Amino acid sequence: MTGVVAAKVPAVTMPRSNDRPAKISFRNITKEFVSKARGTSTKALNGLSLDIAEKDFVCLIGPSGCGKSTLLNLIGGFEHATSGDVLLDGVRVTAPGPDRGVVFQEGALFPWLNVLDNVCFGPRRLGLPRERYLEEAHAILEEVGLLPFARHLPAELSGGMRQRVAIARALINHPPVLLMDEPFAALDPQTRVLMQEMLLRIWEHDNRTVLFITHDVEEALFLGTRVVVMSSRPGRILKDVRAELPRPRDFSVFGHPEFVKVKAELFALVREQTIAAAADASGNAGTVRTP
Amino acid sequence: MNLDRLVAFAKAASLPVAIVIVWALVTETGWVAAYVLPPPRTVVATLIDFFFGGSSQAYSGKFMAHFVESLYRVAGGFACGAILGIPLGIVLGYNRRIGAFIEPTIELSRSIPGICWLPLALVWFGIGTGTSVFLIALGSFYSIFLSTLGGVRYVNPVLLRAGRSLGATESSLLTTVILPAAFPSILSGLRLGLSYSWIYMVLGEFTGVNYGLGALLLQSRDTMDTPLIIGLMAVIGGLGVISDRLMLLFMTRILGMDVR
Ligand SMILES: Nc1ncnc2c1ncn2[C@@H]1O[C@H](COP(=O)(O)OP(=O)(O)OP(=O)(O)O)[C@@H](O)[C@H]1O
Ligand SMILES: [Mg+2]
Repeated sequence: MTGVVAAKVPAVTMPRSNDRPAKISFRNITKEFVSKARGTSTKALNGLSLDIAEKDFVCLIGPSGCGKSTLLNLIGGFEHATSGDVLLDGVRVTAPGPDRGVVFQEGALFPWLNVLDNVCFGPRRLGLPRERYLEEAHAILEEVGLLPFARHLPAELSGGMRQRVAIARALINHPPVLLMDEPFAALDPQTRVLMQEMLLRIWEHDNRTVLFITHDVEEALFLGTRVVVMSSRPGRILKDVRAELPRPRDFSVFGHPEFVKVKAELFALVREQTIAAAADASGNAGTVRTP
Repeated sequence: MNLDRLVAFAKAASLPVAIVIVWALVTETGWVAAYVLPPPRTVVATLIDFFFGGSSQAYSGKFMAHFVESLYRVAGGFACGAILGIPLGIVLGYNRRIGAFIEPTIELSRSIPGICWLPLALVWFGIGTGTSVFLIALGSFYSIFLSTLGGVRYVNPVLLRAGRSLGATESSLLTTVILPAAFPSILSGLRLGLSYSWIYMVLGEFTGVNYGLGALLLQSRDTMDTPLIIGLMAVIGGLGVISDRLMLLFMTRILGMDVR
């Protein structure tokens, strides 16, 4: 077994040669946030291109403020690119939709609905028959280990439980694409590993396309089929690494020598960018005054 | 657990009890004249008389007659305030473009103290129920409207994103996400509006109607009946608390909504 093979790609990522068609394509994306009130504009992304093949599990890492969430919001349909194309199955994304499940950092559960009703929210909006989605909701809650809490309100759950509900809520719609923005960032390390293993277990039996944002290099390597590193703002792709650890994976790969080596490399790279971002912030680069 | 609640209750009750004791001391000893401040037991006796009758006073046994009259005005005015305030708050909170036309006017008119409307209301509606209902509607409207508007407009955007990405359409988003998310602030607007309703009820009845708790309060000043004045203050305050509790109960239990 080769373990982790780090296929080094030039700093400006080309569309990867791959036999599978791109599920998600970012084509030369620029995203600028303009504040009329302050008369400033911030360039979050500048000419970024990235292709994500079907069934890829892409983990995106990079310094804080480099535009990771912005990228996810673009494919989520929550925001629009200043220029460039965001394509899903070759079609331009204009709005959010149930074909892209989203798990937000804070879970974003509906606080007035109990766990079961949160999970059933999607199928209800899609007008599915009650018997079918109820059965499925139970199965998914069983899978994430929350069936006994079906009638609890989000406020009565721990952070980890809430994230599991959020994942279940996104999965029940069977979205071909799953978008996750630092879903486990707020969890303690022990819970986080359990959640990662759960996510892998789920992913390994349906292999949907996943875009997963994290700050945690270890998490990225553990989960992803690919790890993409972004530069400090304005975000570009710096490095695109294929993470080919044996599957099914569990926590034991953390000690794998290749894993440790690549992890150290990626960590150094992100650190460099974080330092650059900090220097930028003090010089206020990237944010310019508009005339 | 029960002991904790008992202790909490004792703590809360200690100050009122102390006040009543001091009140009893300074009045029973004759240190303060009875016509300025009657002793607690006189107030209690007056209230018992007011509720159940037993004397030849005009108000004796007339609680229900006065109460029903006031309740009728409060309910009518509050209902008007809510029927106007909630839908308007929802529409303007949901659609900023419409809001741009109407909100500034409402904001501006809000700076006119409710009491300033009294003379005009008297001209328009005459002495009595019309004026009271108008003032109550006006007084409750602003808090209901503003809370609804705020609740609808400032729904956590991530909840809207979650709703959309789960398949809610723009139109279903209103009933499935926006209104439930805004419910706590709508409820607090209703509670505030209800408390204003009782305030403006008294103001409306001060214009000289025959029946109503506020009207009786004014009459008892004319007769210098301090026990009745203090008794009525307590009754009106108590009714405010009871109506607030009932509404909270109604909203949470009957409508099955959660107030968190
Ligand atoms: N709505 C917005 N208005 C103005 N600027 C924004 C907005 N959203 C993001 N930005 C700016 O765009 C840049 C990228 O933000 P983004 O949230 O994508 O970063 P990120 O990589 O997700 O950071 P983090 O790791 O801290 O979550 C930041 O500099 C931020 O200031
Ligand atoms: Mg982010």
